[in-house]
Amino acid sequence: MTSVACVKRSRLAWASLCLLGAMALPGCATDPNALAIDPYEATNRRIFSFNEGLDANVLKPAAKAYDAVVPDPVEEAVANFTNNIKDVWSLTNLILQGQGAGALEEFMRIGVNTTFGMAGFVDVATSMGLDRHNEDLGQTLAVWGAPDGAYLVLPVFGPSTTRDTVAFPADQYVVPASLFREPRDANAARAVQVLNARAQLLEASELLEDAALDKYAFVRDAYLQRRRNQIYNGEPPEVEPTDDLDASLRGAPLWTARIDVPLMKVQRTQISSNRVVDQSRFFVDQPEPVSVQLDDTWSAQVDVPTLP
Amino acid sequence: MTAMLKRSRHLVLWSCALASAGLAAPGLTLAETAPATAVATVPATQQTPDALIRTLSTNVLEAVRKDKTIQAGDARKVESLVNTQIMPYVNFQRMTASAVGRYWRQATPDQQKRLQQEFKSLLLYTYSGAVSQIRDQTVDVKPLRANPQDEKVIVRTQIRGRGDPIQLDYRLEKTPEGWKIYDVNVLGAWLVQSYQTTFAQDISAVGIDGLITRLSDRNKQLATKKAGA
Repeated sequence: MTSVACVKRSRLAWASLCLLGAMALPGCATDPNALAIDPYEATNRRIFSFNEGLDANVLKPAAKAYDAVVPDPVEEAVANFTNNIKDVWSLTNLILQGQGAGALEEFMRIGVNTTFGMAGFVDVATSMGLDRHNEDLGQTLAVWGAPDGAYLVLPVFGPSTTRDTVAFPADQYVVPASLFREPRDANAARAVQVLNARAQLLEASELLEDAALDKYAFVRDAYLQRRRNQIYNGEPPEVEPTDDLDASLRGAPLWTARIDVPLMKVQRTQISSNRVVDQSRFFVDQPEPVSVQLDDTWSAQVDVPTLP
Repeated sequence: MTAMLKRSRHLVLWSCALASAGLAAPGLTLAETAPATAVATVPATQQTPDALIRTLSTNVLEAVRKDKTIQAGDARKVESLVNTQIMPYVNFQRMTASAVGRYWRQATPDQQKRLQQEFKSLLLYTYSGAVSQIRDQTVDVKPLRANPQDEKVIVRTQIRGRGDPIQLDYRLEKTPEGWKIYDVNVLGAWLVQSYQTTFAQDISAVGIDGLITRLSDRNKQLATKKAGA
């Protein structure tokens, strides 16, 4: 027999539990999801700090000096040359992914840029309407079905995922530095490539400093989104929250349920949902039964329905 | 390292994107000499979303090109540009609510208002940095792929200039006052989603008021930085 009673003492059961079930925003990377994709967060943060220090103390000053000395057209030419070499790797991956039209475009890009673009220093193809396809082995593996794995921050090289780290040696191999036999020349070429890229991103990195509250989390989330975008070639399946936000902006609960609890003395109250915010309001990410257990003597269960 | 920073290039355009709500001139309008106060002939409330983005972009791009002080990073000028040309077409309440996520419902109206103000300031400061980097880029608005009765659409554009074309997308929703922007995507990363984790972590650590404090501290920091620059 149930009856509604007023709560006088904390040991008594509540008179009624009003459950406000509201769908939390899907696609909202709140803590549970963040942990799932970033189980090594502590280590990643340390490596991230190390990379930041390396960048601030070594790479950025060098890039600034490089930027000051080298004229912009030359920087662009070096970037174009690097991209032309990378286009060869993109072409390989486009074929591996079965993207015939993209592979053909990329093939024409390489041809046009190498001949008319003076071995790649001038990017003629983009002005002809042939855009770059930025494909690498990590994306190919993803298209073949490999999941992301965990988010990883690599020393020096920055954000990555487990899958992309597996593909990393191959992706890093096809660069202008590979054209040189002598290790000294290859290292010099690699240094120029890195400095050039960093110099072109000097302004963008300052903006990142300004915009991010927590730079590590910001870079991680943006990187993972961008990676997903690249894998799907600009059209990832959308996971946008819809009307639940409208409801929340209007202030109305989407669903409520009431459980009447019998009058009894209770040592322990247990609500089996790990997302309880407080005892009268909590949020549910997906339909699940919610049960209330009062000691071992009384329990009730409510099914939260699928909300639009 | 450079790979990570390549990802950070999107920040240049988040600001460009929000500040200019779409630097869209359909393709090749470098040579166009539209009057400085070009205004769409159709009132904004009746425009289709992609036409709206195109109009906003044309206006803002022209304003930036003609005014050298904006290019130099004058924060006040950028702010007035953003407030007059862009703010009327952005639904900041929704943007903030989406970024804050499920805690939005727990916030008092006063907290909500402050969150919105601080978030808006943060983005404005980021803009003045990015807008000052606009040189001679053009924007290419892709044809809109949506049903006529859709209340929410995505408008895809591309920024072309030096280097690779940069993807820039907008989410717009239909309101009684016309279409409004409520999210921006640069190089594949949606602005709202990128702030969601940070906000959620901060709120669970220090509460909503703590987040507001952090945001306002950051804004003060940016204000002194811009003033000193």
